[in-house]
Amino acid sequence: MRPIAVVVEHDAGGIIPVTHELLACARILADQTQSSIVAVIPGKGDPAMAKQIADLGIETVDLAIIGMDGYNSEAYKGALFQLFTTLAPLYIIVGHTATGRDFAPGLGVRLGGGSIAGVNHIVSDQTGPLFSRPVLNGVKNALVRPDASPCIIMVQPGAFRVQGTSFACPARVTAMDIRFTGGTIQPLGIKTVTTQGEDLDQAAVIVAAGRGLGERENLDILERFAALFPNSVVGASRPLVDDGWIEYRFQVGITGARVSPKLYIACGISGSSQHLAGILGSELIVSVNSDPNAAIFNHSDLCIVADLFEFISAFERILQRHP
Amino acid sequence: MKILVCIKQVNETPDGHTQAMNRFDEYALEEALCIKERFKEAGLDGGVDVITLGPEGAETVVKRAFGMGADNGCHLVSDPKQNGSSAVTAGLIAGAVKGCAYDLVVTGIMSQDRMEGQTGPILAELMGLACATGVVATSLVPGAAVIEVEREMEKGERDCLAMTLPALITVQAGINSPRYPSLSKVLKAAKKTIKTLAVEAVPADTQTLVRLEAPLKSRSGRVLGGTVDDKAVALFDLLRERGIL
Ligand SMILES: Cc1cc2nc3c(=O)[nH]c(=O)nc-3n(C[C@H](O)[C@H](O)[C@H](O)COP(=O)(O)OP(=O)(O)OC[C@H]3O[C@@H](n4cnc5c(N)ncnc54)[C@H](O)[C@@H]3O)c2cc1C
Ligand SMILES: Nc1ncnc2c1ncn2[C@@H]1O[C@H](COP(=O)(O)O)[C@@H](O)[C@H]1O
Repeated sequence: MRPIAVVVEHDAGGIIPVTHELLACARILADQTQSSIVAVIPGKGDPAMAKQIADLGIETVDLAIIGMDGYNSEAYKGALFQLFTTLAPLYIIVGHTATGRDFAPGLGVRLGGGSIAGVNHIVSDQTGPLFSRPVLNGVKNALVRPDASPCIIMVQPGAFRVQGTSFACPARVTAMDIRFTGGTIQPLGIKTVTTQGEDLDQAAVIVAAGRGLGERENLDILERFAALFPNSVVGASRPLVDDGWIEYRFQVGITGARVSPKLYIACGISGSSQHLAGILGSELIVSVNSDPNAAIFNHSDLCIVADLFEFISAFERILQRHP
Repeated sequence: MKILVCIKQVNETPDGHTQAMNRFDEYALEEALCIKERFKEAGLDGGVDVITLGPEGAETVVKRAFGMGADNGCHLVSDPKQNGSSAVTAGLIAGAVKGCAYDLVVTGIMSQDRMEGQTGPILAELMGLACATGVVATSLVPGAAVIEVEREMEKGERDCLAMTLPALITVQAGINSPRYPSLSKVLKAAKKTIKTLAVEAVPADTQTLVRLEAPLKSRSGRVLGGTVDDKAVALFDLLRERGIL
């Protein structure tokens, strides 16, 4: 029976929470395909971490990659290739994270299989599982069927809910060493460049600006709009930060801040999965977008299909009448 | 320093009337041009080639790249019905550049339409190159055989590493400020020839697109009707009710 393998994500602080989402995805697939699950921890060998996973009732391989110091895509691909060649998994579950995106596509090629990126949902079909992934800025999901085996499923963070842990008998841990002798990549360490500001964390209302703003000068309009709400701040989607319009500490999303204000108003933001990952903790989400098909509307409590400038002027007029 | 940049033409509007260079590829091309310039300043040779896979008409994106400063361009002409995944794109590009000795291959972090972010790392594997994805800073000493890069991680961290050339990087947005095509280069570009290659054998894909679906909703998604004033009133009322205003 070919198992479903899960590649555990971890850093200096231990197991990263996304790992539990990967396990949740693996459980769905295991149910659909009647397979077992095996977790793999590529690293230095860490019995304590392995025990944490095995205590969830999941068989675990504690894979020590000898000669690897810190994450190294060459070492990951080399060692996982060796392990999976013998383990012969049906699916390999990896996070669609900075790390997963880096090693998984190449590993898929090396194994003679394939990889599906950004998976947010699994649909069961007579032919087997179909995997859903966003396309066209999230306006649609593409349902794809893997044609090559093994298939690496790169799971979108936040897409799979972690079930409460039920009691399980601790499973077996297998310790394994694989030597890595490549030499074209040399790690130089992790650097922390920016600490997120507190502005987004402390605000009750976030008015977020996206590319729909058009011009940098229009930020003033958003500042004025935000000032109508008590305890508010202007946040932004990534492209505005990339273009230098707004400082990084105001960026919302998977590579920015994850926010949970009382009210999030997205203005001219399309709703890419990377942006959504940062906003789903908000109490109330209101979106203003001129495109009725914008993906953000699927994740909003209130959808306002309008030109954001016209809407803001209208709102200002109403407020003047009801001070 | 011979650099290859993979660029894609994408629809900017849903109707397909406006087409543009994939926004993420502008950063890739800009980074390649900056590296070439650094080599030139050091008195070393450098050249930037671009390649695009796409149907007839996609060569417009190569012309834009010439306008920005690319030296040579290649258009791999695909069947407009072809709908392969990144595995197919990478396979076709690898085949087309076989035998060209590039020191560095650069791609964008993802395409706006397919959003896989896999063409780069698959291409690296097929070409036997070391690969780093999500690059937000590069530095290389002209003449040395190593590139140092910083990869963007979650939580504002950067993974720093050195790769022996030849290597492939996928570039994240924000790494630089892509230049606009210059008039003089655009004029010169008009005289440049684009190498055109027909796609012959399409490699087997690793996945099949079964169908497109509307995304699942995670919230109720109440759509406000009426005029823009009606919508503003409705939001105002709701926020008063909730005690936010
Ligand atoms: C690895 C990775 C990490 C990323 N991390 C992040 C992240 O942390 N945060 C983030 O935001 N992005 C992130 N991105 C980028 C992300 O993929 C999208 O490119 C980005 O979120 C799009 O920003 P946007 O919605 O503002 O722009 P667009 O997608 O261009 O959307 C603009 C929207 O404005 C609307 N619009 C236009 N004019 C008007 C008008 N006058 N009135 C009303 N609406 C209008 C349009 O209909 C459109 O929906 C990341 C990408 C990658 C690959
Ligand atoms: N058709 C194409 N032609 C040339 N380069 C491409 C093509 N498709 C994708 N790429 C490159 O691969 C990157 C990632 O694309 P994707 O894997 O489709 O998300 C893009 O940013 C481009 O640099």
